[in-house]
Amino acid sequence: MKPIFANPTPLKYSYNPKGDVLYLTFAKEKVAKTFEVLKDWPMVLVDVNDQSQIIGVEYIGVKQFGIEVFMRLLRERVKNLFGVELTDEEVGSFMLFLKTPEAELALAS
Amino acid sequence: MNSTKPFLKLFAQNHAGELVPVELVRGQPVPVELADEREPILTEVDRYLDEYAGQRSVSYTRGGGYVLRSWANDITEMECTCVQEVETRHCQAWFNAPSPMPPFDSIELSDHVSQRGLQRGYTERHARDCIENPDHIEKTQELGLKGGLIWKFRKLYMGRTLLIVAEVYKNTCYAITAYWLQ
Repeated sequence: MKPIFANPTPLKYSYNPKGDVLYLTFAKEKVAKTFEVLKDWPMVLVDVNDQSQIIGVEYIGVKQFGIEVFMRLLRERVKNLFGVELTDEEVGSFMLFLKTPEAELALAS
Repeated sequence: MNSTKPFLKLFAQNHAGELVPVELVRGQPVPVELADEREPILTEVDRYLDEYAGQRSVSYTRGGGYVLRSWANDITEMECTCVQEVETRHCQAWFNAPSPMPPFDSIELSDHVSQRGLQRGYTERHARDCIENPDHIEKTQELGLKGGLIWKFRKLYMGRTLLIVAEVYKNTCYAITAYWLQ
């Protein structure tokens, strides 16, 4: 079975303060499909490539709802949508990534 | 905004028990800002439901009042001037009409929207066109960072629907993200 993510950890993140949008890039590839894993508010979108691997995760409402809510929602919805449970290591790696000084600075600004 | 254009012709009883336009009861025109104040509209809807109880289908009486209340929110879009004018013909015309172009002073596409477009396969032109000439607008009650409401614009391009999520604040549309619906 192919891994659910194109890479075990995000290659990079970007935060857009105007829209309060966080985007985790797992691979720089063309998007084949975008899934609305949570289409209300906050919003969570997942981009997959043509091999159905997750190449990007978008979270709108970072400051409004916080990172912990994002991780919980992502874990729940990925399981519902893809039938795969994220491991503690995967979730932990996202958290570590978002706890870097650069990420914290971007989110705090 | 200091416009005093009446947004809705409401009727209420004056001291003599006569029905008169509510703006005359208040002694001044209803300002546009009061469009958010739904209580006068809902009161009028209730009065209308009471008046027509027993004369209309049960789905239009008190039990179906939520329908009229919902219509009341869109009453100006249906070009009705009072609740009594909200009827099937107006509703059908409203539902069938293309969404009017929102009168935005400006449309701002964030860097994020542009960057996602490169990966997701839409252009800035798509995004602007979707906002300016949408097939459908969903106006949510969610608030964005600026305090404006979140709107979702949809438009069909070559069999695929592009969705733009944007915050509308002070007549400016701030696009937050965009993607193709599956």
